[in-house]
Amino acid sequence: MAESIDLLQGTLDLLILKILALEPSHGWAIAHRIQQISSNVLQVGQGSLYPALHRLEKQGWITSEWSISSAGRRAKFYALSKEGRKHMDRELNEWKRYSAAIAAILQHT
Amino acid sequence: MRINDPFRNSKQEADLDAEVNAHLEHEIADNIAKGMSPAEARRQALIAFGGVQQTKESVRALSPAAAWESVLQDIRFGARILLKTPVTTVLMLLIFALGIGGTTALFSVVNRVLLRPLPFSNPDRIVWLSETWRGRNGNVSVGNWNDWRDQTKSVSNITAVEFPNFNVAFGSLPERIQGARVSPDFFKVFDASPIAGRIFSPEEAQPGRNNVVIISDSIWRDRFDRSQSALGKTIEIDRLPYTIIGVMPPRYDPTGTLEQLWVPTAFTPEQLKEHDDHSLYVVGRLNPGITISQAQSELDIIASRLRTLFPKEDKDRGIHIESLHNSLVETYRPSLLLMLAATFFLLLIACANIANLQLARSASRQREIAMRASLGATPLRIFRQLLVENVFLSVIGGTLGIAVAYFAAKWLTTRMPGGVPWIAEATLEPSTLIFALVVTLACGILCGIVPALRSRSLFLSSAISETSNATSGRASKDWVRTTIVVAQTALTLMLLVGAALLLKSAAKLNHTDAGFDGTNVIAGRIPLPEAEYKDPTKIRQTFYSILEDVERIPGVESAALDSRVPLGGGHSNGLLPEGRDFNAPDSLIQGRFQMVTPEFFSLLKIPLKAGRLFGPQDTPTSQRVMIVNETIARLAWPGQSPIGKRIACCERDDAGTPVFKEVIGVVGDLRSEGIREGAAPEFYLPIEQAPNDAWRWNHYSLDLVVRGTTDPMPLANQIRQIVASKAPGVPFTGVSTMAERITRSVAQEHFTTMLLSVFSAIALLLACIGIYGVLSYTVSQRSREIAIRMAVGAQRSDVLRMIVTQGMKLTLIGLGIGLLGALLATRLIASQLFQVTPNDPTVLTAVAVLLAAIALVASYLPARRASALDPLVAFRAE
Repeated sequence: MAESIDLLQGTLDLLILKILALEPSHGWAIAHRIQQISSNVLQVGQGSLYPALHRLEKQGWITSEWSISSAGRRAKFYALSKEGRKHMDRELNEWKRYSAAIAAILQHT
Repeated sequence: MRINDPFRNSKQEADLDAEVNAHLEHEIADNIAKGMSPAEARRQALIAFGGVQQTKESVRALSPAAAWESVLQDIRFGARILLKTPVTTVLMLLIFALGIGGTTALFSVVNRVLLRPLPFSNPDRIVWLSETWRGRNGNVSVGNWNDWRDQTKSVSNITAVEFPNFNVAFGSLPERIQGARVSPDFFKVFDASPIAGRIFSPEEAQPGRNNVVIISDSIWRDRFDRSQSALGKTIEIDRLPYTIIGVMPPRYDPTGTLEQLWVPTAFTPEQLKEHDDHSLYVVGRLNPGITISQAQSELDIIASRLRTLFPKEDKDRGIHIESLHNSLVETYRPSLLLMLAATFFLLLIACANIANLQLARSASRQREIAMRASLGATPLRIFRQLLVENVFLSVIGGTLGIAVAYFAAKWLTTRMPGGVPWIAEATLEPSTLIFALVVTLACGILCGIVPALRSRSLFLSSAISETSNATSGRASKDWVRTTIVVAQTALTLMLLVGAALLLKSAAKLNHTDAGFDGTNVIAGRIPLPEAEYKDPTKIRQTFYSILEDVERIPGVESAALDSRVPLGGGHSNGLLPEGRDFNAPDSLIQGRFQMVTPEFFSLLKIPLKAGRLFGPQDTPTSQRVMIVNETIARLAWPGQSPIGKRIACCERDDAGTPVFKEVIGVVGDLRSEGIREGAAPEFYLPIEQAPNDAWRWNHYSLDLVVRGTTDPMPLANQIRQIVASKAPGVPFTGVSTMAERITRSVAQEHFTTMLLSVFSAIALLLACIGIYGVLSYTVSQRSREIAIRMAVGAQRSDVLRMIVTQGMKLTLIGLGIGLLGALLATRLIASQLFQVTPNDPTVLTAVAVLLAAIALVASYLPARRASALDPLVAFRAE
């Protein structure tokens, strides 16, 4: 297993929104998916995941409701709101510009 | 260490619990699917999740009520911690209560007397006008007042005021009551309306129509049961009938003089032209848009015009204008501010002590705090916890302090001497309470911030693993406590120096010779009503017959009359030695006027320095004579004998030329204007030769001075009967011993000194506790190190020396800083000192030695404990 790296401050929000853009999901599944997709490189601590979820919900970017998970258990599902999608698009653009700029510099030198 | 929190929203809480559980269940299921046993799956899930409580805590912190809830939590937790050590807590509360209470009480006085504007509309527009004469402000002549009133455009309602004591008869017995004689505009200046009746009409300022009086609410209540029928009733004032026309509201006291009734001034056309009799107080109201300095410029022009018009009377006279409030409280400002500053010092020292106690406590709480940190409390949270705890403590202390302030303010207002204006009204009002609140919070934060800051460093040093710091010699790291002790010592020294300087001044004041012997001497005033005593011969005869009878009372050694006894107020006159040019600058000597009967000097044992005293040969028709004190002799005829010299004063002959008097004697100087004030020029005339105007200057009153074979105070009633039999309706008032007058003249100083001494004694005690506390703490922290030292051969005396040296090092640094501070700070109290310089070396040395000696004792006790340590016991305790 490759060594995991800590998430950059502020990127967790974006990752959560992106995951939720696919389909509504619950906390464990979100963490699990981030880990899976990143091939275990990105580890999400629950200590930051749940505060982030509650914070995003308070800002109105995601909504929550209790439902039954695919594993057949009760879980709190989060879904992207309309506002949240707009916010995600803005953040994504920002991120793309940012990473492109970094990449350009790294390639150039 | 789960904290029950009834304030927490239980629905949200259940939701959060369920969410966290759902997460764990998913993880467990996942782990089982990977092939783990259920128990292992659960264990791994919990490990992967990390701190469950921490996560919950972070989520909770997002809820809007969370911030407030957690403060309540901090308070509850703080209260529990405080209750665990009741003795320390009570001690800290007591320190807080006394500190905050004392400061608040003094603030309430300062607030009422110095800060609060006068209770009238636009109080800053009310001004006091006085005549200036060679750098001194003085009273105003009727003519000048009248001319100012006619000419100025910057001040309106210019009002003449006098504050005579009246003999008032409501029924049969006369009473002595503080009154005021005012022109009708007086009430307009202060924008006051009567609660019953009316104020004076302009016509009532005319002679013959001025027999009307306005009474105070307290007279109305006590004498007339607040009945409307009081209006129109007649009372007798100085044996003349006056009709009551109005009543002023309760506590109406615009100038802080406590007058109880007002009558109109009524000047005759001749008096309105008189520019040489300076007896009036003058107040007025600045016109809108005019500043004091603009008014001053205009008045300067008027003054120069008057000097040209009345070259003799208004020679060298100018006009001074200032805000009334300023002029009334100026005298009291330094001592009041000094007392307030002293309480603040004490409060600071007290805060330092509490911070120290809290530090000691937080040191023993290191493990608890570390535990909380590991259970999810953020550094900020713990910082806040400690701060909230202290603010909570200070708020309780402050609440107790307000109770203390209530009683302290009462005590201050009744005990503070010297007739500070409006002091009786200093109470706990909203602004005082706000002050108390601010001080309380400031104290709480000040005391809490140090331990709270210290707590943050715990996160760096991971205290939980630090089971013991016994061998690490923590003393050097303990710079926070050390700094506090040093600061406390420095502040205490400064306060002590201030108190000691004042004490030395007070001792000097007490040992200062007033110039006369007041043992077994009483004096009181006999005011004859002007209405019946216009004729000087009749006045003299009345006084002489009283004197004769008083001398015959058994137990009376001698008796004399004096226009104003020393330390009894009085007025001064200009004296012109013969040969000097009246118009030359500084030709006049301003001397305190006294007219006396011949026995006066021997009665008060005032030494005769040259010439002779008054005798039977000095009659109304003989050569006019005068006795001067040494100061006048020196000023008028330096290096020459004054006997036989001629000097003019106090009266003019029919042709208008000053009447010269022959100096027949020189007597010793007295401190007649106050023990602090030093000797002033003073001269004496025989009552037999009293200038006609002198009776009016003295309001037809004389002081009767009586020396008894023992304390003559019990004879006062007999004297009263004699006065009443010779002059019906006339009282013998203001009777007090000369010793009392001396005491009263320095009472303000002694009061300040007493208060400051008490404060510095408390400060000294607190500083001792501080030094003792720090060293005791060090000894307990270093017990293992000390045990090792002793195990490897250190003697008990070495240990003793080591600890005492540490304590004395702190003390000496504190003393050094304190001495520097004292040198700077004591300059501010220089004006309060009497014959002592602010950097008096004996005082500085004595105080430093005293403080060092006490610090030595405070260091010795913990040091002895350390040296008595049994190494074996110390090792086992680890």
